[in-house]
Amino acid sequence: MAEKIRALGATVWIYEKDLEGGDIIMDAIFSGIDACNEAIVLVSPDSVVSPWVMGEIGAVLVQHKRLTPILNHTKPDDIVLLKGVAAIQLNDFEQFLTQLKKRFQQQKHN
Amino acid sequence: MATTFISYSSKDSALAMDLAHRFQKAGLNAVTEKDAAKSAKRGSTPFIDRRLNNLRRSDEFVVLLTENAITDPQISFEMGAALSLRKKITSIIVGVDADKLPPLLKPKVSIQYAETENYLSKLKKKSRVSAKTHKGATAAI
Repeated sequence: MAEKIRALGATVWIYEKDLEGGDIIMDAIFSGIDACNEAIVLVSPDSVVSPWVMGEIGAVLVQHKRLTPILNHTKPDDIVLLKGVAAIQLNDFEQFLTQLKKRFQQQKHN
Repeated sequence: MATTFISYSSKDSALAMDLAHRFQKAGLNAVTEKDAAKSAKRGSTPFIDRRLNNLRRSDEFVVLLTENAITDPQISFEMGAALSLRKKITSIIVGVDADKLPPLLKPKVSIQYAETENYLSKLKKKSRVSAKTHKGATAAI
């Protein structure tokens, strides 16, 4: 997913790749959220029970940033806190990329 | 006056209401999930948005860390939001070992529930100082 987004020319912050030795994990994650324009959350059976993922969702939404849930073997209402937020199935990720590209072009245009 | 957002698991409502009552008795403002639920009934804004609006407007964030809270996604959600807004966070520990909490919930500043009165006195003092400073700044303008 990160590679496909990068291929559109966007900068991606992802925990596994962008955390450097010595970084304070919590500070790095919240700085990443501060710096982003929008976020995606991979909603999987593991992530729905992860306090980190819930915390990151809260951090993104409280900053009024766009958050797209990408569903992987889960249903849209598996995270009650995301009720009312349109989700995309992982199998339809290309659809998200098309939408992102459009937003990206609009931002450049503005 | 400064406002404190109280984050708690809905299973700990009675404890949270007791805490809110203590705030009120000490002359301090506190907002709880019940406030968001009441206003959500009146308006069209979804409950979560109301919660987040209350959190944004608060000066302090207090979380009741109990066994119920550890597994409640809403607590992690609100903690993440509070951390993101760099709110002053105080964890009130009730019957759990602070060292065994998940990293996101591991408190920087924590007290036991029995120490609440002492915490409220300090908060009241701080609130007075902040009000005086604000008044002074307004007068200077």
